[in-house]
Amino acid sequence: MDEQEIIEGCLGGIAASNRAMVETYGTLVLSVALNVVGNRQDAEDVCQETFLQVFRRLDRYDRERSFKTWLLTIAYRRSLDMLRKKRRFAEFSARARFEPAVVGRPGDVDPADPAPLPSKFLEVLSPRERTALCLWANEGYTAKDISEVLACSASTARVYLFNARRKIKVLLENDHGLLQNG
Amino acid sequence: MDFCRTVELLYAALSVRPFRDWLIRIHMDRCPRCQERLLSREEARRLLVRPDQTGDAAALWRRISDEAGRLAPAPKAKGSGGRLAWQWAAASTMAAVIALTGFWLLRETGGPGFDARAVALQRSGQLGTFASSLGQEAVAVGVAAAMAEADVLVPSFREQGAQLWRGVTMVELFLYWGGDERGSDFAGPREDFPISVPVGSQASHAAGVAMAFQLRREPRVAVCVLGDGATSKGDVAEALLSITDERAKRATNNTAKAAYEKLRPTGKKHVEEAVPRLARMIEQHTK
Repeated sequence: MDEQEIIEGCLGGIAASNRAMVETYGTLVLSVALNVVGNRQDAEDVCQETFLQVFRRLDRYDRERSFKTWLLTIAYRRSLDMLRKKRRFAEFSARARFEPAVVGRPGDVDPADPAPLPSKFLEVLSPRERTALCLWANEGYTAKDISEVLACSASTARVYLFNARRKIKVLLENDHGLLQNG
Repeated sequence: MDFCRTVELLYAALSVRPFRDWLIRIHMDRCPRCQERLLSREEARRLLVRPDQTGDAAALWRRISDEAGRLAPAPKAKGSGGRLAWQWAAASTMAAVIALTGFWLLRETGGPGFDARAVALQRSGQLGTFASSLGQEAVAVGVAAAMAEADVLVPSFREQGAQLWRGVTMVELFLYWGGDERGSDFAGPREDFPISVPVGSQASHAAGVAMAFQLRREPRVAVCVLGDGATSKGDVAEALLSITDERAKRATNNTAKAAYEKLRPTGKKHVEEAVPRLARMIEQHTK
């Protein structure tokens, strides 16, 4: 099933197309959510919210634009919502603030789960910078593509990407073990 | 290298966005030395979670399928624009009607009163505490209306109505409940007592004021307001007995004086029992 068929099928409410959509783009959305929110449970919630919104609002998708970018824009916005929700919750639970951001549940690690995301990574970079870095590194997006997802100008996206790359490089140079240990 | 440093210094010093963007575009994007000091794509990929590391997408579908099955099929874009516009128009009209009715009601009723505003301020943390007198405003206003100007009011914490009647300003009341004691220094009724929060404690103050009036032979009264909660307090019984104590002290009839002194130790107990009964009796008559 190619992209157009999947979209048409989802618009018609066909379950098989919905399934194909999740199986084709699920890992992509999950990886972006993981890199932005920093833990698997929240990322899966973000992923679920993203796809449900896509199924509901597919009629608003502009065929002129890239579907992947439209999908990632939704994933990025849902991730920001999740971070906002978590920040509100963290005010009530001071413990949560100091919990290291770990991908996967401790003690119940799926072999397919990736290595923990370094907690410094989450501290040093803002969500926008994390998204920019993730799209640039994993998807090969240019500043212009990133700017569509972040809803900013291309030069602003370039600044986000530049800052993210510089900050992480400095971290790597100063303390090599820091990022590896999480 | 020096040029790179200069550019970086300028970058740090200048917060003007267009210029900063220009620097990045012109120099840092192209200069090989600056590029070396940036994270490479490969390094970033090693740090980040990649799509192929996130596991099986089928598991994700299992999670989403239930919810997705409950969704109605997305409406076709074609032809839905007109209906959507109508729905928006209807919703906006409804919102406008509700808002206008609300404003009209607020204007007609003069807006939320002092009590409602104070409760709202307290709930939003802007007042330390506040005792609402909703539903019993008339009692306080009635008491104050029966008083002469020279009389002294010794209020509990629900007599805002009486205080406002006697010339205490709302600003002073808000100050007091906001934790500022300048709110107890009333500009209007100079001799009125500040609000007494501990239940029944104002009774002893009122007894003292009454005694002072008696000693000075001034034709004024001290008005103390008690709730039914205060009638079972020892303070109140003590305050009431202090008046009779004073009278007994000044009595000339030795027989009466001796009899009073004999009965006085059990007096407090009897008064404590009698005051709530008296309150209940008054309540029956006011209904």
